[in-house]
Amino acid sequence: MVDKTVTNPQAELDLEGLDADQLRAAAVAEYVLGTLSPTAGEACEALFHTEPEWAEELAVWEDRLGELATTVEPIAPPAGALAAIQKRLGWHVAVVSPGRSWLSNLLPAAIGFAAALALSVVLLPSFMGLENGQLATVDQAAPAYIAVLVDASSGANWIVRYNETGQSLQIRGSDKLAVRPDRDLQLWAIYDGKPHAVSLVPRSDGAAKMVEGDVPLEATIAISLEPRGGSTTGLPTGPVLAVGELISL
Amino acid sequence: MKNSSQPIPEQLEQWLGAIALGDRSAFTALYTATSPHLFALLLRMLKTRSAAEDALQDCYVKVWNKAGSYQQGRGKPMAWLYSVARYRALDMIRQRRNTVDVDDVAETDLLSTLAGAVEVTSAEQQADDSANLQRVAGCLEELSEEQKRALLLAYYEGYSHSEIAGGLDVPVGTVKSWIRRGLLALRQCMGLAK
Repeated sequence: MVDKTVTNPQAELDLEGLDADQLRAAAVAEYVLGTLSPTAGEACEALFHTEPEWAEELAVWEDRLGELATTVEPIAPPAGALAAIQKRLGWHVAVVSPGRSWLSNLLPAAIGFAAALALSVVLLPSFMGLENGQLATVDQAAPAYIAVLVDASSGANWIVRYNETGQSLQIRGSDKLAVRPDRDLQLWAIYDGKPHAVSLVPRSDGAAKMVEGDVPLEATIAISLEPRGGSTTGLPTGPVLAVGELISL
Repeated sequence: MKNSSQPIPEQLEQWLGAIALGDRSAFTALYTATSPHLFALLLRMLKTRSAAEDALQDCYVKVWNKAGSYQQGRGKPMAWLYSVARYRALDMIRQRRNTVDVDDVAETDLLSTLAGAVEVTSAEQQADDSANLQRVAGCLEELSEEQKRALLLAYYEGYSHSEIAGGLDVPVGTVKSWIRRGLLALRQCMGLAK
């Protein structure tokens, strides 16, 4: 249903004899084409966020009209364009902590699209009480590191504990985020400028999974939504739900 | 119509997924593969290299920040990138409209633009490996000349209803009707109607 409080972009079209489906199509098509007025365009954008049918119509028109752009012969952009973009992204900013320099770029970006939150130390005491039989398998005497990944939209949080000496990493599941049966959550460690698949994330609350392997302490830990069984490409293919970093306990 | 060596969709999807996690090397690879396509479209719409480069920078900053919002299965990755570019170009054209008189769009310019946009040769068609593009091109050919002309001027040049009307010396309402009826006919032809 269209929110009646939002300006109706279809009203601008004034097409008689068309059903609601056709009117929506006409409005979205003109939005993609760029011929809607700014006011109607803003109303469309509001509907894209709240009405799934409008968002679906948008993707369809962007796909179809996008084919027209393929007819334009490629032209190499100015040589300095990439460097200018990298500068705007802050990639040439002086590095304070060499091993983690790119984190300052990752986190704002991640927050922008995935509502991700990094670890808050004040959360640690409550999470320390999580240790159950499975967590006890971590060598408690060895230096331990922990990351708490939070999906702000669902409130789900996942605990990652890493034992550097034993080179074992443990991920604890959460059931606060409903994951479709044909999907899985996948844990990634990002270092050397690339994401590395670590493990699938347990679906049930409190369930923990142990993974053997060496993960650099400067790695950023992230969770993405993937097809069932995990990404088959070796790289994340779905939206990133949460990002965090390991800190020493 | 041509379909010039488009990047492989699966590769683009991988890069976008990696970019969402902050992978700079994936961003550079995506830029290298796609920027000539986006720059050409931006230059076509914005007319000057400096404006097109400004827009290109804006586009890739947005790609870096919003790669996570691209959803596989919702649409083709290259179409998403083209949309990012077109929306930015349209914004810049609208800003320019507020400061520059663009009423005197010459019809000869419009028609030469149109000729370039819709030129189809049999050799090119044979070389074209995109079924989707062929379908769009085929559906465009089913529109009236006026509908096709108005649609393509809006798409490739970012012209408004009134600019097209001024250039072709017809009432604005007529142009609106051409575009809207043309889009709905295109939708019907491409099987988008439910």
